[in-house]
Amino acid sequence: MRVLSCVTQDHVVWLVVLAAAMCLAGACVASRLFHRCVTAPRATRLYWCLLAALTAGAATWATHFVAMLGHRANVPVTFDGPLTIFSALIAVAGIGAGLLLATSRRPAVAVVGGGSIIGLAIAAMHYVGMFAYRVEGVVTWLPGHVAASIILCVALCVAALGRLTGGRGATRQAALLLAAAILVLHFTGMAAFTVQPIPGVSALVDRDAFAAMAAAIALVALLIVGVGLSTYVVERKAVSHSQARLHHIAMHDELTAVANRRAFTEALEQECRRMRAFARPFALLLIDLDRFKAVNDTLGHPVGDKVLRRVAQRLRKAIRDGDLIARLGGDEFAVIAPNVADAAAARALADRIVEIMARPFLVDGHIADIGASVGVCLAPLHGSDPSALVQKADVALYTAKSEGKGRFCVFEPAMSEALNRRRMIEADLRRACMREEFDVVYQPITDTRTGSVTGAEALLRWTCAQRGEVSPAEFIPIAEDLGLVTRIGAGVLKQACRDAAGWPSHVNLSVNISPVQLFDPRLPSLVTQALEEAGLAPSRLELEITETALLEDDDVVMATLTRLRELGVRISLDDFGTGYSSLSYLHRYPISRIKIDRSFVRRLPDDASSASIVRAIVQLGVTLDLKITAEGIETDEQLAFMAGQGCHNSQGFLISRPVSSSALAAMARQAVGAAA
Amino acid sequence: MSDHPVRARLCRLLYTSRMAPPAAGAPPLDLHALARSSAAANSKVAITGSLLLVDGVFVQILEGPVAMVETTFERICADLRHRDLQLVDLVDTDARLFGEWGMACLDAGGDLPQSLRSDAQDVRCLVGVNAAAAVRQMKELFAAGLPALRQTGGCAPAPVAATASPA
Ligand SMILES: Cc1cc2nc3c(=O)[nH]c(=O)nc-3n(C[C@H](O)[C@H](O)[C@H](O)COP(=O)(O)O)c2cc1C
Repeated sequence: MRVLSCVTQDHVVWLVVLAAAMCLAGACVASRLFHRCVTAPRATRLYWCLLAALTAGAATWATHFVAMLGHRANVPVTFDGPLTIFSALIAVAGIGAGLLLATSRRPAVAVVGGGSIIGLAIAAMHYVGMFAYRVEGVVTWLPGHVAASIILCVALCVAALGRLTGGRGATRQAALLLAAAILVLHFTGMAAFTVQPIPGVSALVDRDAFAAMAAAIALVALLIVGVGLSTYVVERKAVSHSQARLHHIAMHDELTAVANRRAFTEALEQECRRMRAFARPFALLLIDLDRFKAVNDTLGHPVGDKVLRRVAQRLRKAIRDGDLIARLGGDEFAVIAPNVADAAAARALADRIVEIMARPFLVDGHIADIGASVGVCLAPLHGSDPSALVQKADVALYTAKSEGKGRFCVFEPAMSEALNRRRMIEADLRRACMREEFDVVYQPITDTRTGSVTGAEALLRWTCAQRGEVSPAEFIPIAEDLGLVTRIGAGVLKQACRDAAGWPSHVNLSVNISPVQLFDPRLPSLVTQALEEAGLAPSRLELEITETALLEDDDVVMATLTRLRELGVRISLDDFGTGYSSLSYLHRYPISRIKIDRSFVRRLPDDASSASIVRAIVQLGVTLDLKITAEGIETDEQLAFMAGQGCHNSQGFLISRPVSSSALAAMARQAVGAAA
Repeated sequence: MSDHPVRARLCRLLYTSRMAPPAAGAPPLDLHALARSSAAANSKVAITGSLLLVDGVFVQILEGPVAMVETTFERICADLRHRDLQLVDLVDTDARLFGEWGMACLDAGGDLPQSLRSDAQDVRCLVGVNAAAAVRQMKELFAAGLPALRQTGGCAPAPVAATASPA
């Protein structure tokens, strides 16, 4: 009870309160720093220990001296400067050493060893400080209290460290324990200390020394608060910075730095909520790069990645302020455009995107020619929840692609129907491929002069069990997209060869070959096989190819065509005059016939420019020694015109609609019979 | 000029585009300002060339180190002040054709002498057919046109010559 009375009677109470408050503040900061010490990674541990030791040492020291200022000594008092400073150093160094030990991996050593050293350091500081406290009187010490103070202090410090290394978030309890250690030591220590005035010496206090002390202590207090505050701020900043970084990483596409799919989903949900809450319309654009796969395949992924980065960069130029760009994956991007009220504004945005993507990308000396297809939908016009909007934009995107890419489409309900129909056709087509539901019919080709049947063009027919006959114009592009063309084409070729083998031997067979088939190096062996299986002479087979296939100027195509010619098969050029007007390939490739496209024939004989084109083509044929066939003859006048021009062969509804193999054979025999 | 300090591989690029109608509320394209800022930017990255505007169509040649041409062209490609941009030609070259000019600019509208204007129109037509010939013609046009223009103070070209050589 000496301790309590010492506190209340021998001290100025407000200074004791001040000392306690300072002790607590210092302990709070120090324990936070202690915690950093024991949890910090190796590299920064020393730094934290130093900081913690400084703060805790300073707090102990300041507490001690504030309390000493409040000590009512009834005798003159002075402070020994060097010893005072030395006592502070003891505290800092001792606590530092304790903390270093506290980072040990063995818990017993860390807590007990570290705590003891810290406790002893605090005690050492106090008692050295007491030696610096010079009183003009007779001093007596109570050894029991001294011992008790030291033991209590050490125990409390061990407990404090135990809280710290024990679990997270216990820094507050540790702070309290640490403060208790310092205060208990101090006041128990003071209870052990009594001064008896020497009679005759007046109890005057050295004002100057006290003022200097007060200033020094104030400074130390400031230091403690400053360190604490700045650590707190620095830590907070580091945390919020790393949180911001983490957030950025989580929400952004690493390659292009635009928003990623997750961020897109969130933004779209938010935009939908805003739309409902504030009636704020917006537009959603889905963007697919055209031909990007080819860039990756032919120029490699590093070039592809650079292109993607530039795509994002260009998108940034094309959008308006406030629009969000996201990369949804691979070559898919999206834009959310708030406050787009009408289709016109959305169109303008989509148009800029299509325009800017159509421009070439020059990367590392390569030219990457891509482009973008864009599907647009408007909220709330086309939907008001994210999944409906994405689906509508997807339908529009799909339509843009199937209409030839490099364009945008704004969603319309009819598109969904078209897409559904297409999906069903896709499914049916796959099934048809398996079951070989295809038929081959033959359009007779005649000698323009005599009218006798000289050959027939094999035409593919598909009668779907569900939907009846489907036009090749509709299903062939789908089959191309699905990669079924080669398979279907092979079936047609085999079937046609078998059929033609049963016809009179002067009747030739023409079969269409799609560009996909032409790029396939296995085509010659397929043709050989079909001819052999059917027992058809190669000279009776003619393969019809289109101009577009030749534009690629591919070595594979050249090799394939040459090989086919060697087999004795002839090559004709279909739809002539509609495509690109480069005639160079007529010289280059082994072509023996050109077929004048029906679009010219249809306007004959009245349309002057069609007439002159036809004349020019026939002339070209004569010059290059090519046979000419006119397609799509529907009137007698057209037939007469072609005959007059010297066109060798004709086909079209005037002559006959496509017929079955047996009907064709009959026609051919009849014609022979009639001629005979 | 062929002994340019940058010894990187040189290339020459030719593209055409149509001048875009200015966005609603935006001022019309100020060709002279564009030419000035382009010339300034180009001289920093050792790019020379020429820019022709004829009947609303831009014909521009950029020549310089491959990497620099790529980055400059990318910026041009990200610019929505023109439309229907077509890359016509990209060839390696040993020597600059437009070395004396940073980015010479010629507006073949307005008060250009008739002969020059029809030469400019020739360039535009040639571009679609024969890129190499178009480049030569463009060079002749600028060689003939720019001095005359500077004397008359007519349709001022970009700050020529002065920005040509970073050497
Ligand atoms: C027809 C036309 C020609 C241009 N030529 C150049 C040029 O030669 N060099 C250049 O740096 N910028 C040129 N620009 C300007 C760029 O497109 C772009 O606006 C400018 O470099 C600023 O780009 P930044 O906003 O990305 O910094 C041209 C623009 C147009 C419309």
